[in-house]
Amino acid sequence: MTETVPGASHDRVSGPQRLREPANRVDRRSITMWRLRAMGMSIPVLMIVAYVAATLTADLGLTAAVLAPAGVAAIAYVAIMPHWRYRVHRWEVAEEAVYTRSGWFVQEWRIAPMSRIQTVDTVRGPLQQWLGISTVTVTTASAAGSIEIEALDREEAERLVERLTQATEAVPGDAT
Amino acid sequence: MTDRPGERQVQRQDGESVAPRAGGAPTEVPWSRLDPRMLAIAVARIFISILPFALALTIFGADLDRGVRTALIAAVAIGVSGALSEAFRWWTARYRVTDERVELRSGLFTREARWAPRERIRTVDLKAGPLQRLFGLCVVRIGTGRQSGQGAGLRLDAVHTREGERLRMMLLATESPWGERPGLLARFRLSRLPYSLLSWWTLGLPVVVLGGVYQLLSTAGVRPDERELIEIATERFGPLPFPAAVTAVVATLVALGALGAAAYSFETWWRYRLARRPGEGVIALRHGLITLRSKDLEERRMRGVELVETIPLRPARGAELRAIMTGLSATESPWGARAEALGPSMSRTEAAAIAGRLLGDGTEEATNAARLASHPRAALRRRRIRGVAAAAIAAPAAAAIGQVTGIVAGGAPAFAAAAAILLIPALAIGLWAARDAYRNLGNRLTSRHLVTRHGLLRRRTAVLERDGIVGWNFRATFFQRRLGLVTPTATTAAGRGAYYAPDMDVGDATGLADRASPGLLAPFLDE
Repeated sequence: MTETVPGASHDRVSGPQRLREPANRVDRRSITMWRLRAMGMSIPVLMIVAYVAATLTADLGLTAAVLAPAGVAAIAYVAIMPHWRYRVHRWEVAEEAVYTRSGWFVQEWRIAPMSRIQTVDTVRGPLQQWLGISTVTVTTASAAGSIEIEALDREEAERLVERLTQATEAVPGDAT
Repeated sequence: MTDRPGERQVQRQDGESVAPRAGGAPTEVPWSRLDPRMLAIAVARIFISILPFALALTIFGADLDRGVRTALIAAVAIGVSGALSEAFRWWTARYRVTDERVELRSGLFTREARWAPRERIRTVDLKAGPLQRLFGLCVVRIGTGRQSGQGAGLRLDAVHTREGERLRMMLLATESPWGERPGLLARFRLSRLPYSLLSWWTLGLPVVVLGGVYQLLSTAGVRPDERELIEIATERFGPLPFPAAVTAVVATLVALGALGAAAYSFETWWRYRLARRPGEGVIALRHGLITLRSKDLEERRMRGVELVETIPLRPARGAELRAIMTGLSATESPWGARAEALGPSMSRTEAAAIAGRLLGDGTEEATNAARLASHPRAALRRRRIRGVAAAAIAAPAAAAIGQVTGIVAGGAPAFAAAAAILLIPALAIGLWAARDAYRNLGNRLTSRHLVTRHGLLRRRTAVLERDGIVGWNFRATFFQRRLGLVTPTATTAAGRGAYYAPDMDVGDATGLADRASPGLLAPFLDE
């Protein structure tokens, strides 16, 4: 601590602090991934809404009236969410910690120190394989502490895993 | 592995455990079987499952009609297949304790071999259900502090209680801790009983029990006629005016609930003892009347404590004390005490004092609510919006239920009137809850601990050791971001895994995390 001013606030070291955004964006192909996932989610939901409305009302006009706003919401979701996410999702690996930001409506900033990392692995679902991207997951001893970097270029992901594995092996301790 | 027996023996100081070695030379340790009395328990279970039918047929005079017969056959079939699988388990299971590890083999078609390295064994818990106690058996759970996967621990279900005690002393290299020793922190006291009565059980139990009995009787063929019940009730309470009758029913139910809560508390906390043995680094906990639970908690796995104050407990300044520790699963079973409970409901002061003696200097002081920093007013606004929204949904919903059940007669105007009238108390409750939830928010950082407090139905004050924090998450919804709020979460390997301080000012939250985990956030801070 460099606190030398007498009577300085002992509660706060400096003024209000804020986290800056992590340095790197995820791969642009993530937008396609999120869009396809959103479609995969909304189409069955719309079909269920249509079915329920049709069986309950037995009226084509009413069914359309229910389905129209649901359809607009789904289209807005598919159109907007992926771009919103792409602007939010960022990651950074510093010497002693991993730092990510994710989400869109609800956003989350996560920080895990290298010394507490337990496992590092990559997952590639069918969609991601087709797009050539990987998700890197870093787990800590806490069930709530795992960090996901959702869409990285495959080779970049592999390099990152390599780097993280080496960095965590270098730190002793059982990470709890 | 076994070529240095001498060294290992000195290292562990457990002369008993190396007994199977004949003449000093390492030999194969023989396998042991589980206790055959578990078969008797399995048979007893079949009879117990038939019992409600026997009662219904003989005492209540139910007909042995087709539905009842099917249910009876199903019950017997389930009981017999359960007994057969128990017999199979007894037949195939073998366990042994070698110098290096505890091993358990089971299964015939799919052979399963589990083991736990002895040096990783952290806990040895003995637990016995009512039937097991009757036959002198217990379940031994050997924990390694890992939550899952290979090396997560073993379960010997079941062995004789003497064998269980022997295994425990051998594996943990301790003696029985239950003599009068200076390390005793708390023991059963009748004066804590009133706190136990102030539980959700007191209100919930009568409803659950009456519903359960009704359900059981109707499966067994006795169908109490609702109309008859109402007639009996009207006869009983007929002369009483309606409000008095309602009061009488509620009072009876609450009295029943209090009785149930007291019985539950006695069953769970009779013989309660909490002892700390600093020399061995172990916190020993024992409690239970019919089911005796007994476990050793390793001190170095303790990461803090949590005081939980439910709404019924709060007026009496009572609290439950829970441990935040690694390798302790969140719950045991809905009927048992929570695995992390360190004692029955008690006064907040006593809980804080025990916490202080468990975790050392500063812990008792850290639980002091008066010293917590409050959260920004915007947090109150969010809670008020939630309260009003809940009221706006609850009032029309209640009116709709009233209309469906016929309590609210009439069409749309009656519905609107009922909803409007109900909205007033709903809003009052919603706004009161918002204010209470806001006042329950608090956070603080002491030299050793992070303290967070929040909750409405159960107010939780978590005192988490700063060394136990393994990372930080900050979460904000769109609305929180607009208000400049964020919910910082300290992640940890222990307890619930995440301890959070809802709706803090962004700058304060960042500062809190930065001071709690020095250096962790530094590279990512805006200058």
